[in-house]
Amino acid sequence: MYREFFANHPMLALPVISLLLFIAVFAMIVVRTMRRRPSQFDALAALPLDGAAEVTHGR
Amino acid sequence: MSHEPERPSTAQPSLIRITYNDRLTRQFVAASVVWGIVGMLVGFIAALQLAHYGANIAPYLTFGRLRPLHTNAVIFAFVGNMLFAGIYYSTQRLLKTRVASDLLGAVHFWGWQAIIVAAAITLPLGYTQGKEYAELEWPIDIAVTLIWVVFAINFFWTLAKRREKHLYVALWFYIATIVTVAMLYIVNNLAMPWSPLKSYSLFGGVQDALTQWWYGHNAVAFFLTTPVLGIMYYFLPKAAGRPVYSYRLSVIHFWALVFVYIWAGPHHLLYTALPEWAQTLGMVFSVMLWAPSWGGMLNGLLTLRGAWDKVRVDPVLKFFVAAVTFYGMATFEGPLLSIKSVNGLAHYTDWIVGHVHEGALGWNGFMAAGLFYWLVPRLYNTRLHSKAAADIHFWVGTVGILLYVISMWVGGITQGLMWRAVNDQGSLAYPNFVETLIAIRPMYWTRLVGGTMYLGGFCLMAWNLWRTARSGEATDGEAMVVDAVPAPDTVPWWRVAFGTPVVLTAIVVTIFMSLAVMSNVASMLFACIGLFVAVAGVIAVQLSSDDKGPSWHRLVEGRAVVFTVLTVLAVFVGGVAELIPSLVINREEARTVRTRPYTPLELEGRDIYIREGCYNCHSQMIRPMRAETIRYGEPSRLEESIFDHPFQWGSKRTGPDLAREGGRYPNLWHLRHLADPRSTSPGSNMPAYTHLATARVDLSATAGKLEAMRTVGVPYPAAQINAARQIATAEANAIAEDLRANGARVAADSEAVALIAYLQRLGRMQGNPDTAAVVQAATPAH
Repeated sequence: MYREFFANHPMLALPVISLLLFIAVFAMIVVRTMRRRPSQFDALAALPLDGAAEVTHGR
Repeated sequence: MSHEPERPSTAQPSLIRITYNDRLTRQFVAASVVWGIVGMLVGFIAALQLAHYGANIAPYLTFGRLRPLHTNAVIFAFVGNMLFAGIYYSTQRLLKTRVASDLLGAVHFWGWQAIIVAAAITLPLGYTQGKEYAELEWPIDIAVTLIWVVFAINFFWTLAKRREKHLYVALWFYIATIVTVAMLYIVNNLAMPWSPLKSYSLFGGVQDALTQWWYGHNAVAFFLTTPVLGIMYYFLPKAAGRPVYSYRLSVIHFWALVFVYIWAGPHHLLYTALPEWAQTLGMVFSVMLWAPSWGGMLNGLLTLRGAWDKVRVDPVLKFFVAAVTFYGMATFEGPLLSIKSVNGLAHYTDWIVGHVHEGALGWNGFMAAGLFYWLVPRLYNTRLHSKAAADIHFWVGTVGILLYVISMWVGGITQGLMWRAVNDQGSLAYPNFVETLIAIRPMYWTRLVGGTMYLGGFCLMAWNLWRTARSGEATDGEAMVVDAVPAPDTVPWWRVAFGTPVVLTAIVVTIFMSLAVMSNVASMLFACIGLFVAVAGVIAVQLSSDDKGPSWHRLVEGRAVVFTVLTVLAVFVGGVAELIPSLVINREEARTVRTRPYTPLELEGRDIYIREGCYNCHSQMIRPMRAETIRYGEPSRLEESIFDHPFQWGSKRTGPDLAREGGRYPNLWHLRHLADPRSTSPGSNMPAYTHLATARVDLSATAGKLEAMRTVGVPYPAAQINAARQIATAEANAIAEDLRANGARVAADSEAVALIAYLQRLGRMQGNPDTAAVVQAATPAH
């Protein structure tokens, strides 16, 4: 049965359900993540700027 | 010279001075610039060849051989070296440690350059696997794999000795790149060698098509996108002097992108003989990509919130902003092109070429320029030689991209509309394919102008960087860091690895995967259950979070191994879902009595077809559209390409589809067409393949090729393999005799005859009806 399914399954609603599921979950995750206080992430976001102490000199 | 950390003898024993290995970065930057010029120069020649056939120089410098060289050079040489430069520079600083092994770094650099040189030699010589962006033959593939492993070892070793516990978002994208590219490259390049420089793909027909575009699409995703996004997340904040706009958004951007991207490959095969469900799956996941892609783009652009005044005066930011904007445009256009109705018009046309170059020139090329203008002054402890020249580069490059992309949009849509146009009587309005080519030739010249401008700007950058380097001195960065091993983890690894989000995702994915083995009613029920579990689960997680302790994701960001494993799982799920179904379909079940393997001479001709890169301009896939069936014949079926190792469906029609070319024209027409395409098709831009009439096929190797084909699953009987030479000779003599009877003299063992045998076979699944008799006659009596 699974071979037949993989070869030619007519139920094309499944990808559409996948899309709806993705949109629903994506939207909820966005809401959930963005509701966290930004200050919790300030130190992490600043990691690339941590190189202010970097010194360079000619070899 | 030792690179061990130097501990100050006075106070502050916890602080040490470390020296970064920036020599690697300098080397990769220089290599990227040099190969960038080479790759774009080859692109210039290829564009000229499309506009004017006379620019083809057979046999080594024809479009079919140069186009793979162009794509491989810009992808693996230009962008590859660029991303290695960015990764080595940023990783050391984000982890506050020197790269783990200078030796492995050097092996990585020189090994990668040797691979590029090998590609530059073998591709014009015609050694190709015949799969787009995967043309390199098996010994080079092995070298690529080994060097990639060296890179991975060095990267993860550096992660292991880091002094910063937290993994910044840029590193997530690097991790995803390393593990996914390894998986893609190895699977797609599985092949059966039959000579030191030739092989046949392990997969055939639809299996090979699906594997190839799973790889091809994700080469764009995980070689040209994710590492460059990592570079964006590190260098854009550095250049702007402010943190990324939203770290929270970057979390969503990363996971959604790596999970969704891997599924979208089948959008390259819409309206083909691929099963309908797989096509729709690819389309839907492509549409999903809009969300994370634009999340990332907005995160990049909004990082400059409050600092837009800097963009006016800083060429680095100019390039970064334009690059991220082009990323947004390309990632909007990609899903758009994946919608079947749009794809029906755009596929096989130059619209796709324009889309690709929007990403390559705008996103990758401009990110590289911004990166190099920022890096080189720091790597040489000096100032950029000329800001004015960098500004000129920016504007010349931008206008060049616009000319390129717009001309390809216009050309592609024009050609797509002309292909499908019908008159009042219901027949094709432009039945002669060359008409549609001639109509867009002005666009080919315009593209050439745009590409030349872009290349000119790039050369100006090379000069500017060279002068900058000359004005300074090679300098390795140093930093004072706290010499402390990150604090031990208080949360056991398994609580992170099996955290609520992981378990919830696993349950939902399992439910949806199980739909594949259920009846329609049951699968619909399970789909509803999956949807409910997903929604309810996210709400439950939201309600249970207390916002006091570190979040689950914060814990994962500090666990490199767990993070890597979860990333592998995220891409693996999509990879399995996309690949396994086609691989488990029994090839024998797809066969019909009408299907038979290529005869020995047809197989030799097919090798010549692949060697000359004919697939770069000719598809072998007739889509189920009225305009196509009128022009080319009935739609292609899966079983017609079942013995094609590799498949040759193609992705572009600079020339007409050849799926049913067999029997359309007599042998003499093909001979004249190969020698001088304009003699049979006035206005054609196809190169002249005069050398095929004089080059000889080595029929002593034919049996070995059949044997290799049998190893990958093509059912050649032993008798046919043993008598391959005699069979091929008999077939060739028949064609040569026919040509002679029509006034053309050509040696029976010439490559032209073998290629004609293959072309005459296309779409005629019975093959040569005399073959069985020839096999019998040529088989020894015992």
